Amino acid sequence: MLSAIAARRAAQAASKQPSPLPTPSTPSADPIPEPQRNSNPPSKRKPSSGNGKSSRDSKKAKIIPGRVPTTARYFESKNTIEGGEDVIMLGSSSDSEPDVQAKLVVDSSDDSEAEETQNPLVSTELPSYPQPLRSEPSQLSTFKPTRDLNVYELSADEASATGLRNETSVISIDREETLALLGTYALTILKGSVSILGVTLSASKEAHHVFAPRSAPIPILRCASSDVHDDSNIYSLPPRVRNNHGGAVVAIQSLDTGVEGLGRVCRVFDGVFEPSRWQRSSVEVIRPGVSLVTHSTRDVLPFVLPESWSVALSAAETPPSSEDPIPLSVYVVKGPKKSGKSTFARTLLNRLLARFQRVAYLECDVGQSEFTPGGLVALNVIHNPVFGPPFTHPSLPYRAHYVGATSPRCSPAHYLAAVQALLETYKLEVQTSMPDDESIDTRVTDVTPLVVNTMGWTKGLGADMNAKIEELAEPTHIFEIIGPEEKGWPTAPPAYDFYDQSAPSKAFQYTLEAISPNLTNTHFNAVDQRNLNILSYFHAVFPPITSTSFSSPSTPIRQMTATKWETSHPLCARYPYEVDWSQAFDQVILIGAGYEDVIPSEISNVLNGAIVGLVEYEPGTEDPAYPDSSGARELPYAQGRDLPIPSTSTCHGLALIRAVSPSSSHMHILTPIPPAILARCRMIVKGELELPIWGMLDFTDANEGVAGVEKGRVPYLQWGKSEGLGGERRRVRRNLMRKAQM
Amino acid sequence: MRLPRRVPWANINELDQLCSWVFMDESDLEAKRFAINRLSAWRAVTALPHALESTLSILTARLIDTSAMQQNTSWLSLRQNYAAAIIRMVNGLVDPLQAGAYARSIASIAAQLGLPSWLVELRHAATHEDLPSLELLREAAREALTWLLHNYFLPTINPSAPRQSTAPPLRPVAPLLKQYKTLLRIVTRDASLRKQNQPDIDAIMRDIERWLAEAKLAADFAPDAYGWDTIDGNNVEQEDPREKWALERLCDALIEKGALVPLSQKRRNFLADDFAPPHSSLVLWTLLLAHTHTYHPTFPSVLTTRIMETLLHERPSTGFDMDVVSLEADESQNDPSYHLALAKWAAWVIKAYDNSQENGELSLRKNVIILLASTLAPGKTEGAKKIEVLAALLEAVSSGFIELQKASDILLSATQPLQSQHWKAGDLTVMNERLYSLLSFDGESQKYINDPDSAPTTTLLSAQGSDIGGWRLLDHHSGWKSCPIGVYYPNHAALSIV
Repeated sequence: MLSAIAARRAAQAASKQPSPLPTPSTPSADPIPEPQRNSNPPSKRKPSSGNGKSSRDSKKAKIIPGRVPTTARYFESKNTIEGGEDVIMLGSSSDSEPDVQAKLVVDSSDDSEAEETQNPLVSTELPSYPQPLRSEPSQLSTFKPTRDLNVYELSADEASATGLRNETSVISIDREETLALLGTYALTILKGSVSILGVTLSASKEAHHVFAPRSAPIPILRCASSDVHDDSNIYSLPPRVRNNHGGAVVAIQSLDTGVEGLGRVCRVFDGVFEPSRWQRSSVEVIRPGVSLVTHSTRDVLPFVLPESWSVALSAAETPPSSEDPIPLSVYVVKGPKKSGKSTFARTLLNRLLARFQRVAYLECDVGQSEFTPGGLVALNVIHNPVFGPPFTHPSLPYRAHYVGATSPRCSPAHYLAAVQALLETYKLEVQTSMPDDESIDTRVTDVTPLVVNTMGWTKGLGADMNAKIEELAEPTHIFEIIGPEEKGWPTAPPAYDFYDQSAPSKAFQYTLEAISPNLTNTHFNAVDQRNLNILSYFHAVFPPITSTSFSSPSTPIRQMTATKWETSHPLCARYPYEVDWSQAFDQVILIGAGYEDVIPSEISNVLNGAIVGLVEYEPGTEDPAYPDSSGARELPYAQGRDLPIPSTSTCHGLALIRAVSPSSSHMHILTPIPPAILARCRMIVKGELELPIWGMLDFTDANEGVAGVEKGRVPYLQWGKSEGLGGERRRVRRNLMRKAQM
Repeated sequence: MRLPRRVPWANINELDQLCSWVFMDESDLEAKRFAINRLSAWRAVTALPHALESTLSILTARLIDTSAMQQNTSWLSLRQNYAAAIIRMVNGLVDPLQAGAYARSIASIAAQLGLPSWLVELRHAATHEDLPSLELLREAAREALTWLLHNYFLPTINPSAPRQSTAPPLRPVAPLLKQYKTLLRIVTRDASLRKQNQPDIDAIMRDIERWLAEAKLAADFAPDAYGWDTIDGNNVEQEDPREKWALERLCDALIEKGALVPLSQKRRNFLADDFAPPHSSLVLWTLLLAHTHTYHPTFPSVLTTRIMETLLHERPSTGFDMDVVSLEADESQNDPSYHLALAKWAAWVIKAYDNSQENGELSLRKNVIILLASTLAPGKTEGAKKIEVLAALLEAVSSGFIELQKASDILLSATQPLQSQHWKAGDLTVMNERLYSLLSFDGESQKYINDPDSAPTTTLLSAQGSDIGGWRLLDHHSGWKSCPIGVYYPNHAALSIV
């Protein structure tokens, strides 16, 4: 029996072992995430014991507590066992003798087998040691589709009788029911109203395009009200649909946009519009390309509107009393990275579109832009709400300026000048317009509010720049998201404030909670999303426009959002524009740290395969690169030139110079910009933005070659590891532990 | 599918040319200027490999130095130029190799890289102490360029040439594990000794972590380190192959007898009804396993895979008598109690670390079942001797998961003698149908890929061949053919005009 007691001691000691781990710390989740691995346990981010917390509090260490097992459990077990006995030490004289120990343990196990009921600790506690916390899958759809009870298939004839085109699924959603659909679909509200992505849509003739890939939170449809006003009963539903009891009725139609093909281009996003392999058995296909998701999983997460968001949104959109003139509103959204800033800005935009015919959107986040690929500070004017992640609605900006990189780090002054110029443009050309009395639109037509999305770089120089933008924007409402990492906005006065004594501003301030990290999809990191935005842009097909209807103050402002994607061919197989640069361009400008060292004879090497901004500028505002431009045989480039002044220029979008002719004055260019405006862009600006590797590959080549060139011989690409030392780009690690932290 | 990397050169000859500009004739300033201009242009194309970035800054400093002979420039700025180049070169080489969770000394990493240690000293002096003398800095720049030639340029240009291995071989990890085991034995036996031994345990944990960091670095030199095999299509995320290699070496050491599996057969498996490692082993090893997992999330998957490989890919067994225990080393693999103990560890690791949900991505559990399934599949006989172990593992792993259990039941029932196949008349028809459907699918996809006229135009530019301000959209009449980005395919229609 003596040995049995000792065994318990041993077991007890063993079971306690993990808890006093001295440094239970995990390298902190870096702001720039490493590729997330599947086996990464969610518990890593969760504080689980006091031990870990204390180290977290020290800000300098930046340590997130690691896997400290639930110590409480061990303490509990300890108490039940100890029972006031003194510790009996066995074999202390032969500590270094392994055989004795071995024997001891063998005995103990034999005993514990016999005593298992009294001492369950030994066998049951240990193996369950690092059980990570699981997030329970929650139910997304309470809607149970039943044919001809709440789901109706309308044939093309039936649909046209109803007032719809094409085949349609009509769904009637009861109150309290939720419906989560994955895929792309056109959503038409036939009766009542429905809430989706924080927006309430009422019955209208409008078909909203909804893009719901797995890479973004899935929109949940809910019946908001079943009220039918006389005037909104605009659809004559077939009788079998009509006799349903309360609830909203919506039409779901398949969308043929080609956006799914982007998954073939960028394989990271392969099949994101379809249920994942492990879900396929449990989903129900509503229409081709639209499936009903019942439960959330790690890779399918629902859109959740945090409580503080919905309060702030309601407060912001409450119309003033009818006597007052409609106030000119500017909404600024700010907060750190990954806090849900752009999601909030998009939701706010959609909410405002219920009341205003047009809403302007100023993108100051050049890394993760909503309507344009990265690198652009852009002003967009939006008419229709956007339901989907940024890559599903690339748009031509009303006006934009090219910064050339995914951060304004290299050119803060130009960045601020660009933002300032766009704010002036907004105030002069967009904010107010003549009321459009002829329109049947009941929304406000003469005032266009502005939503400003700031960048997530909220420390150091970034904080200063954001403060300056806030000052320039003169906001009426400020939404500040408090991030999980930074504890709020820097309290120290920003550097720009010293001459401005008129602060504090009179804007309404709202403090919002950050989006829960459990609800952010970790399978797709910021770099992947950015790459996808660029690729989506280059594969997008924009609505055709004529030269006069664009960006001229006299004509109505139109939203230019792509509705189709041409993804049957990779970029390398698309017919390019052939451009004679001696005729088309007056200026070539490089912007980036150290780019002024590029000498003119090397410029064509730099432009070959580069992404450039196409910039239009007012004639006479820029000195020509060469005094005599006629018959130039060299690209119009001079070292170290500054960017054009934002107030007299605009960037219409990006282009890929897929090749520069070595012998003639031609280059081949790919760009989705409508041809009508191409000739107005007399300047090309090359920044740090690069074509993602995915865009250089050929998904139609089975052998991983590109356009018939075998893998390994493709120029500018290298397969396999780099042989030499120092063959990699510099990487920076900020989570290294120093001696003091060990 | 592993993605290639963007490089600024169209082919390796361009790098070769650059190399000759830099190293051929030290007095040829013109060539140095060429090299600097080319490197500056490449920098604007894409982020340069660190070695090229360093070459550029060292060359620039030297060019200023040589041309400063005539002009009267500030010697201080020259020294700063050199110093910055050296500091950035050493930092940039060492930083990415801080592979572990804990910082290693720069000198130790530099030693593993074969970087002259006095360059590391110079980096320290130039950063924190007095700026070194011009003479020393010039010598350092020369030495640094030589190092870059031998360690970056030559291996990159001639990847097949044998690399002069300056790195010391990786030290074995087994002594560390042994030390760990001894320490843990002491404290598990006598809890009161824990306190006084805790610093030693912490130290050994750090040492093992540091060994992993060293191993990651050594992976670069290991001949078998990189498979570059095509990864399963849905697993595109980049997994650090170095980390995998390092973890595999650690796991191999853990799998050896005497580590996870005790040397003594008696102590390996005594609780036959519970498919878990013996308590005595768990007590010893959970601390290390948990610690390693904390810093290396892929550790459980590497460990289970490695165990499975040991279990599945044995040498063909010769003896049928299981009770004969051979003492020869290469016979150690055919040791049933060793296999059983390993299988139990695999099951334990899965139980402890498999956190993916039932319908998540490929989980540890599923991965192991797939590996098992391929061996237990009907018709396979080579693993017959270990089938009992494998079947037990399969049962343990799938228990509690209804769908998996069903699947494994099928597998297990199939390990019984194969049913003789009865050829039915309809079978041939079924096979023919399948063949046709496969063939027709192939034809369709071929048609789709090879249709040149379906290549789209970038936008809906209706005016064919029209020229707006120098822009002309090419189409299938222009004779343009698809080619990789960066290649200019001259269009014949245009050539005839020019």
